[in-house]
Amino acid sequence: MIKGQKVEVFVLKERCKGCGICVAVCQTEVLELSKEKNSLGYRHPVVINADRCLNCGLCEMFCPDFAIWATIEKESVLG
Amino acid sequence: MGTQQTHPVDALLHTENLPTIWCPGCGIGIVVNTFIQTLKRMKIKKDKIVIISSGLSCTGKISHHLSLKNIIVEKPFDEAKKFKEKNPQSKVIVFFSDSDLMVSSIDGLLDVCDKGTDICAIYINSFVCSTLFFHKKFTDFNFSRKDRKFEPKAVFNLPHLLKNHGASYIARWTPLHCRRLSYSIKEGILKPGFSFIEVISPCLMYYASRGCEGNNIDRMGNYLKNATIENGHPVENLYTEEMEHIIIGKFLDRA
Repeated sequence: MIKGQKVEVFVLKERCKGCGICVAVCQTEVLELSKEKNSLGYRHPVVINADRCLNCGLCEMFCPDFAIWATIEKESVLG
Repeated sequence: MGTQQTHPVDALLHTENLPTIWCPGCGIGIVVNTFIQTLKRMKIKKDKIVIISSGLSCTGKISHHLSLKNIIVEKPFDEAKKFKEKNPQSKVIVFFSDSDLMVSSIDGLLDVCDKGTDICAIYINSFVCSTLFFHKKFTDFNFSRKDRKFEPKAVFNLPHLLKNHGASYIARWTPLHCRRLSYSIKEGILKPGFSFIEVISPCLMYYASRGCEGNNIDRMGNYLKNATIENGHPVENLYTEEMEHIIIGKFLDRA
């Protein structure tokens, strides 16, 4: 990731089982488990510090339910 | 938070079956995610990958979530050998766990290893049936929480056995070493001959009652903390006991 680029984090809350692995592995504390529950009764992650995300991809690699991923915003890509 | 509704690997998944069937905090989901991400990075065509499993235990449900060619049979290694002989171009991946070895015996595994069949076998070791070292039938297991006994004994050394039977690639990781696991899966798929990758993953159902491992993340973190990466370590001295020191790494890579 280049300085000045913005990262967008996507969460599919209906796929989440609330294991909390994404929250535990995130080194920059971007995520937090929500207080509300999804339709399955699990607390899903929410983004609290979006500007801190480094797009390391750990949350995407560790999520067992394919519910979270991050991409660089197209508008902020240089050139 | 974005509102995009498709995950980058959704094309390789049965999205209608998500969330996955495994317990929150189980390592199998991470292994499947790592496997799918590896396939995407390798840019292998979808029709050249074949997943074979026995359908037994939690590992058998992997094919339930992948929209690749799936074969579920009683003896996965025998089927893998036949399939590879008929379709030498396709990449055959066998997912199995200790329950498979308990129920359908180890003969098929040793047979494909002896013959050097080009298969990548991913073994998820959750110490549920304590691979071959208890030598107990399922009916001998005590499933009640109070009376269950965990007797530390030397676990059967599967990497050592398979090295002596001619495996060409042997590695062992935990789910939290997912980047290294990803490299191993890639090498295992591309390597000619029999490749064996062991993933040591906690079973929450079995160890939840012990009370010494904290919440679901801590249980997996314990394996990460107790693991030492020693690539090229002699497989004769591999020592595994659940919740004890674990040696992981790439042990064998025959040229």
